[in-house]
Amino acid sequence: MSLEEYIEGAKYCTRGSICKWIPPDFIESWRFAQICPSISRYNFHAYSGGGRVIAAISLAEERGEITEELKEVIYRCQLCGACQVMCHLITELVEPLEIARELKFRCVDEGKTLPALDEVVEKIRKTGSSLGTPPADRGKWAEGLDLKDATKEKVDVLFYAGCKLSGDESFWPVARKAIELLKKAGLDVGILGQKETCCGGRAFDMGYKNELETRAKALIANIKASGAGTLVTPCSYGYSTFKQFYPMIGQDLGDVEVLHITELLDRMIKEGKLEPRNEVPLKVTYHDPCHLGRLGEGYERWEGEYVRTLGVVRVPEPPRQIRRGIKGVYDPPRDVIRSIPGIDLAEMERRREYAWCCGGGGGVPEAYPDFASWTASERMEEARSTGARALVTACPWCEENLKKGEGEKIEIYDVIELLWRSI
Amino acid sequence: MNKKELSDIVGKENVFDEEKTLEEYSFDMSLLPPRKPFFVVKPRDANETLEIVKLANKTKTPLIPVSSGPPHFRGDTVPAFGGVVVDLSRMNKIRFVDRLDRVAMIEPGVRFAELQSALEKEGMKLPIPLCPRSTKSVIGSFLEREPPIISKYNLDYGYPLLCAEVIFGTGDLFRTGESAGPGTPEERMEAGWRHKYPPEPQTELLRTIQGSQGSLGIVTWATVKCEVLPTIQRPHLAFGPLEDLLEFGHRLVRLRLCDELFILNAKNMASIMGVERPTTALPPWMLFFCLAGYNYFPEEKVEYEEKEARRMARELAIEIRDSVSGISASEVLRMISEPSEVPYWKVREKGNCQDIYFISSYYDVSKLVSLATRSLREKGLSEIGIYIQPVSQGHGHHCELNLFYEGEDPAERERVKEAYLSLSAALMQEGAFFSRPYDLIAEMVYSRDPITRQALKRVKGVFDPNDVLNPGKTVSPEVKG
Amino acid sequence: MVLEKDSEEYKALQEVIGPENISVDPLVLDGYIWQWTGENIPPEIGSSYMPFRPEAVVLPESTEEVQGVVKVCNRYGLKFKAHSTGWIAFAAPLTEGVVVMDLRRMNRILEINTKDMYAVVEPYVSFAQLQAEIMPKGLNCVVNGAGNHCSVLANVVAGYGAGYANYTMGYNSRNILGVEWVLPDGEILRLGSLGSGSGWICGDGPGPSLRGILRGHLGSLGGFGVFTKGAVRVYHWPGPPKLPVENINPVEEKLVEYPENIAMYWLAFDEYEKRDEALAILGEEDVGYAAGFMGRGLALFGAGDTNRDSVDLREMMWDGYPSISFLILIAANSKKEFEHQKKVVEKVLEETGGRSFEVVQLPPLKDYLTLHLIKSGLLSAHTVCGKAGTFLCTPTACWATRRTMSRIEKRSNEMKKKYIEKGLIADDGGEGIWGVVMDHSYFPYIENLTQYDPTDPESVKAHLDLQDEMNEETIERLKYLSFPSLMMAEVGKHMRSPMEKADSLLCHWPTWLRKVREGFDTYGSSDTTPSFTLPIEDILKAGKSEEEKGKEEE
Repeated sequence: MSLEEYIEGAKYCTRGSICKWIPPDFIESWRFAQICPSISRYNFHAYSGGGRVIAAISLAEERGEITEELKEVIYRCQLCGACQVMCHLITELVEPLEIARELKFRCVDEGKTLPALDEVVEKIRKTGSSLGTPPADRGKWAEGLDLKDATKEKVDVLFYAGCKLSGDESFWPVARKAIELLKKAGLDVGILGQKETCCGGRAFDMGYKNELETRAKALIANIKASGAGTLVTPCSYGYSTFKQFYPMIGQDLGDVEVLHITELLDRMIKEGKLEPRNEVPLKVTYHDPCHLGRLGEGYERWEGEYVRTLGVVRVPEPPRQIRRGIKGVYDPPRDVIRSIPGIDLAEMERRREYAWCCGGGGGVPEAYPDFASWTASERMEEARSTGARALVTACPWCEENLKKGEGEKIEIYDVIELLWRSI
Repeated sequence: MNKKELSDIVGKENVFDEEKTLEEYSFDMSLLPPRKPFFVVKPRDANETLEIVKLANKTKTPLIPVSSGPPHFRGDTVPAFGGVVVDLSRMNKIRFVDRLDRVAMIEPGVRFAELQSALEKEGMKLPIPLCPRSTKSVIGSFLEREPPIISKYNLDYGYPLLCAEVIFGTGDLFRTGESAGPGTPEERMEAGWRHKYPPEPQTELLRTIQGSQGSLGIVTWATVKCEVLPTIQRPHLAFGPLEDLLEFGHRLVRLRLCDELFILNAKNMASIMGVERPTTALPPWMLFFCLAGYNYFPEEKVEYEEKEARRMARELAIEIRDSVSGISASEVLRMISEPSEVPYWKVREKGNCQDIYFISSYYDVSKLVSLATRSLREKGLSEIGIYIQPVSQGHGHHCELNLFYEGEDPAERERVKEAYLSLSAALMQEGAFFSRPYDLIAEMVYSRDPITRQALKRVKGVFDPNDVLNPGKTVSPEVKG
Repeated sequence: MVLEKDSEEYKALQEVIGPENISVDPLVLDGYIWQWTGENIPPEIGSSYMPFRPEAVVLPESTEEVQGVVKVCNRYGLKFKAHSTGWIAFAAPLTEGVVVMDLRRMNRILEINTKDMYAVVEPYVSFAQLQAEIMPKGLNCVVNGAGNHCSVLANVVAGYGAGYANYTMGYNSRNILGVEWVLPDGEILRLGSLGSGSGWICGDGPGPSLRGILRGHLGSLGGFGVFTKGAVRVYHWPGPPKLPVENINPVEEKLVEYPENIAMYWLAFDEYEKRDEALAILGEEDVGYAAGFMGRGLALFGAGDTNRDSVDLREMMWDGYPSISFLILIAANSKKEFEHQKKVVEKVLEETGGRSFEVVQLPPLKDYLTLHLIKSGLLSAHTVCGKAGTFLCTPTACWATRRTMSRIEKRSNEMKKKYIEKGLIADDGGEGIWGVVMDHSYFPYIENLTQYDPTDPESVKAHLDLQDEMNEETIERLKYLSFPSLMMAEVGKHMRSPMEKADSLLCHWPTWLRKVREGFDTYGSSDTTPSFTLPIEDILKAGKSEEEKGKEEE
């Protein structure tokens, strides 16, 4: 779709500002009531989901253009999906998240890009990695693990490490531990190694629509060629890309089952193939990655129209998915954590569909590191308020950005790391 | 303004200028010096009142509206600059009582006893202030925001007034709230309305008229919200330290567990009940509360409320009794359900009484009461009455100090005056809010808040630009260049 | 005209609030003029843009900054408009030359007084935030029907609306205590006890109460200075300190544990008179904590997960839902009180021939309706924002009596049917009433919610025609004037100020209002509502190009 195609629905925004809050009946305190990092930080209505919808309408009606200031508004958005969840609790007619993304596409189309993001895309184009990791080094993290090369032999489970885990050495232990756990569960696992390329999801969220298409085609071909029945990734951004973005652009993985690592580990525990035994006496809290939670619920393509019935009530023909994030992945990571003896899991006030973003999405850490770190600080304050001594999450991008949060430091782990300690 | 002009409006039999009459209206029980009006007139209805106000504007003559009978206490009926007293006592009809919508429409001359009697026939009552004098006008009382003794019904400071017909100082007739229209009051009644809803679209002018001592408009009728008459009443007295009684009262009001509730010190309880023995025989503080059941399972209701109240009292180490030192709760109930017997309880013992009242936060009541008693004791005034009333459904307390004194004794008068002024100042400093500033302390109160004062002057400038209505009592109108 | 960045006015504003907190970007400004109900306002019916872009939007953080902005506006002949959660046409500028003050940064709860039972809040504290902080202290507040994501201060002091807990907590304007108020001339008025140095305890006095000019059943809607802090009354809450909920979908919300001594009823009757009698008796008996009305059509529209579900429910469940009814929530302090109140409800039903609509005692309805009566959450917006697209009440804001309640309900339902038959508004079966019950049934309050398509000029016009017809009918026959309805129809349909009509109908109240407001608005800097000085000609010009305007002037 293009921005113009969203405008008809956009005009049903009533400017209720619901997109700024967590579901109000779930608010537990004054402090942790807001859901949108962008408006929480910058305050002008334009920074909210609804505000960008109005800006899009204004652009469509030629009431103005993308100025330098509006460009800032557009790019200072992690595309965390919170506004979409909230908006869709009251109306199915408006798509604030898609519109926010389309505005970034428009910026790119008009050449109104940010150098920091151009740089990332350039890296992807040159190396197939958003970190610029040379292809030859893409599989280096797995050296010594005796993993199948899925480009050469069929595997049951294809492990997609993603740019972050493969390209940032500090995260290699997480990837390696994941593999150890999967192997311990008796799974036949392989990787694409040098042929593993960026899924394109982050570039998509930065506004580079075409990049997703290019990446998707290349990667899907390699995935399918591996013969894997299951694609598993510890990267939530990658997960969401496979489940949402690819279907959105008409690309899909066919019958390949896409799982996040926590889903697979949870399954293994419940099937008795992994048994957490060692005590990990720790009070922790869990951060729902946006791309695993509310943006992890899969995307159903729809080609239809809204027809009028009962006078002027608008009904989709045929029926369509309303994305509220409810079917995202929330319980598997929690079940994994709870299965670890000694763990005390304390929930943050904002969680599941209405979790506060870590701040790491949409190109914000690259383009606006202060905003990214501010968002993370908010989240870390919330984590500390639970009394937890550590925060656990399920995405390396979340983990990295949350570490930039200010204030008293607490440990940040991936679910994989904790489970590994217990096995 | 001359007699003929007034007589043309109200008829000469309703214009009074005999010395004796003028003398009667020249003073009240307050510490204000007397001042005679030029005339006293008694209009029959709103039309006549309107004409009087128009005439006053034309001749720049002050008007002093009076609705209650004497004795008055607050200086609000003493002409500050001469003028004409507009005595509204002829306007004394109860225009209607409606059980279905629980509302009554009354004129300013209607007093509590007659209204209660009319309401009782319909199974209703009006929560009244604490033992008002028998000559007190219902409208007059609530226009000055006197607190009713049933806090649970005291929805806010405007209660129980709903709508009113008022002649502004400009000589314009206005009806507040839904009574403004569409339609005349009669047409609205015909259409099923009952002059109940107080606000206009973006103002609530009756609120502004309240507290104005008649200096913004003269009310010619008002509607009041009526409550259901209980079929069962179970009165009780509780005593203990003031702090504990305040907490007890707070809980009862907060949980809507009782109807009437107030706290009196021994002096006031004795004064109201006409008890002659020394007040040292009574507990220093008593809280009166009355449980009530209405029409559906009333016994059951009062029974569980009683249990709950007693449980709370036990938690607070308060004693609840049906009778304390010979004063029975039932007798108290009887006494406070009606206006005061004559002579009015406040003047019964010594002949005069100076009231000091203010609104206080719950947290400040004890402190302010202690300050007051200490200060007055130091001035040799120890026999004072204290009345504490939760107001506005428990969002605040009305605190009242009643300084009983021999009005004929000049030295005593002077002592009370000094105490009134100095104590009021001290209380204000400590957080007491004098929401109803009268006579000698008015200037002190208004000068504490110059911005509000300026705002009030603007409002006065709108509704009474020529300052004909009770000048000198609140603020003068803003004069714009 | 939007301010230029090198203008004196811009620099002066920037000096007050800092460079990060001012914007003159056209599409940032548009975020403040796209408003719910804006589609009813000319020149372009069917577009939610209000006609005038602000000069600038500023984000003050404190009373001092607000005052500073007001003074700058006064100095340069600009107007200003206070805006918190917004969400109505009149939150946008109503003329040229207005600086919008977005009060989002003023968002603190300053005090919660548990004995005097009030909370002091800044403009951008939402009802839900306040409830979250006061419920653990055994307190609760009225939440307006718009929803608990809206501003407390805006609703109670400056805005408009009604909530189910008005039943025990009084209508909104009753709940105002001390207020800090930046007047149009830049002075700070501290209402009531606050100005006398006695804290927040009382909003009336000294002497005549200025609360009477602060608001009526509508507030000043951002057009009479800026309210920067206010103490609002809160009340006892008998329920648990928290009400944990699962499932974010408003029609699937589930209480983790249904609280003790709380029961929700939907009571149905065969006759309106019996319904009204039952409601009155319960109020008189002090039974109930919160209460309201939901017309059959409205309720069914709200019950669906998706628009398709709502349509199906509306069609399939029509006969199964009650037509004449009200909802009531009991929340008791003890088991005995709870039993007593339930017994009274049963007895009243017996006497009036009413019955409990048992369908709503099943999950998920039981949970989400209970929550809705306590918290007034997203169910309302879910019901009316997004089926046809939007809604407004026709008529709005009727505080009824025993004799008028049903008459207005029936007649407004009937009148709607004509437009339903034309297919121009949502077909709620002509039963779209929503309402609350105030002051223990003393004031039943209803609105008839009409859903229409805001993007379709024909649908919007039908809505305006309906408003207009209802106004005529209610004014002439029912002697009732719904001021918000009058505003909408007079402006949207007739392109004139509602004050003209209202003046002759309401004892010249508009004249008095203008005189009072003018007394305070020395510089003419308040951007007042159309109730006041709406420049219709300017609105009509706003939709034209400079060339067209020039031609007209010639």
